[in-house]
Amino acid sequence: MVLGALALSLFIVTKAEASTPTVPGLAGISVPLIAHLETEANLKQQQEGERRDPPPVIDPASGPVLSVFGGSVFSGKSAFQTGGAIAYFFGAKAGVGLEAEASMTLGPGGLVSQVMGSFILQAGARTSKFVPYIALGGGFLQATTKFPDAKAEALEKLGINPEPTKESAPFAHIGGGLRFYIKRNLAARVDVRVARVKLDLEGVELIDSLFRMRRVVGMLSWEF
Amino acid sequence: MKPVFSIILLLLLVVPGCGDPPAEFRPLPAALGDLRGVAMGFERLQPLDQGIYSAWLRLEKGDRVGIGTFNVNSNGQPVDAQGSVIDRFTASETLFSAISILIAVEPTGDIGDAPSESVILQGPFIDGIATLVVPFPAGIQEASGSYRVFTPTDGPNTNEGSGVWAINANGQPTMTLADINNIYMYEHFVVINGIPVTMGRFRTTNTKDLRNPWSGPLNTEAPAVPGEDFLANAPAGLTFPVDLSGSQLLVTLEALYGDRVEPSQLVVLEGTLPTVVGGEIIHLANQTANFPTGTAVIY
Repeated sequence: MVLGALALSLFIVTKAEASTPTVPGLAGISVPLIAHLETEANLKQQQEGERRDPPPVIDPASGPVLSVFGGSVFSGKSAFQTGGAIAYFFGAKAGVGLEAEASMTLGPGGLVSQVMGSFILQAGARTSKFVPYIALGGGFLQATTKFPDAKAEALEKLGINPEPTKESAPFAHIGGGLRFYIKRNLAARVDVRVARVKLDLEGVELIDSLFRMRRVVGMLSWEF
Repeated sequence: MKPVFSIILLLLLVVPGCGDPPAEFRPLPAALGDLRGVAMGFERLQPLDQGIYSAWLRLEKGDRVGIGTFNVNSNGQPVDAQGSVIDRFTASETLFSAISILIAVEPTGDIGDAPSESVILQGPFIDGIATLVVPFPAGIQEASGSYRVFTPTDGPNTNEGSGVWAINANGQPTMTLADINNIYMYEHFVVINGIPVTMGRFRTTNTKDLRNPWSGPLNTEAPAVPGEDFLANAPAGLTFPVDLSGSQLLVTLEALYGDRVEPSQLVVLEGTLPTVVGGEIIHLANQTANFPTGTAVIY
């Protein structure tokens, strides 16, 4: 049993020596040392090279992107809008993407909740710090108006009942923006959209039933 | 590729699109503060036989926006030319920042890009609600006065029941009115057999009014107070000298410019002459509590 173990150990050591190049005398010590120094010199050169001219980031750019945003809707008075979005970009250059967004607009006269989808075309994702894009799509919103009590009372005295106080409507939008990469996966983004909301108006032609909304928001996006 | 993106983005930013806000009330524009409608209602505002009312809003940035013309029905509701009630006046731009509203009388029925000088109601918006009142001179609620019945312009003891003057038996002015503002002047009338006859316009109560069209030949005998003798130059439908018994006396606020012949609905003082033979003192009652009022709501 013991002899068997010794024989196995000898076999392993012999195999290990056989796989290592053998240099007789001092050369056996100097070869690894030179190799080590050469590696160190290469590393220094490489680091200096990186300092002088950083190589472009080569990164598969496709993947999901999560965003949060806040900004203003300009239609009448400026109204604050906030929300979140999730997108997925396709291809090595991530030139095409789909984005779903949910937001809430706190207007001076009520609240507007909306969801929308966007088809996005962009150029230069992660190969440039600035990435412009255009977007178009559609969505659905619900507006709820709440008059202050004093105004509701005054309207009632005048015999006015401002119904409906809630309405839902589809909309189409087009827009675009600019993405700026703060870090490899973190981007700040300015997004502009122009939307036409199809209001349900009786006896009105389609073109006259479209209500215009515009928004400008700032976004923070994290790319996975 | 990038220039194309830049051009598209630029176009999106600068090209305005179609799609004006609807004329009727909708929750979406309202929620976003794009309020373009005004509802109005009035009390004691009289329907106009001639001319029409116009409504104008002043915006925060100084612009003036006309929202239309109307008359009123007996319920104080604004109505159009066909008599249909106007629930909502609509402006061409958002009224969210409107600071005040003004109702004017357009004597000819035509309106331009500004209201006439004949302002009858106005008020500031507070949270989108305006209480409309007559822009009367301060202190007019305390106005008082009386007329003495006599005819100084044809000598003593002649047709003494055919004239009225704002003076007492001691020769002192009897009318106490507020200092006039830059919107109105005072004017006084006698309504004889239903026909209003002006006695002239005036600013102060201790000087003559601006006209004495019906007085007698002794104009120099007329006291330095507003008043009139109805002795000559009778208008159509009347014969002078006239017996003023049963006639109505009115002191009104009239538009400084663009005034009409008829008394306005802004009656400050009112009285009725009993059977008169001359020498009577006719006290007038303050009627400013009956001035029209109104409410306007942006929605």
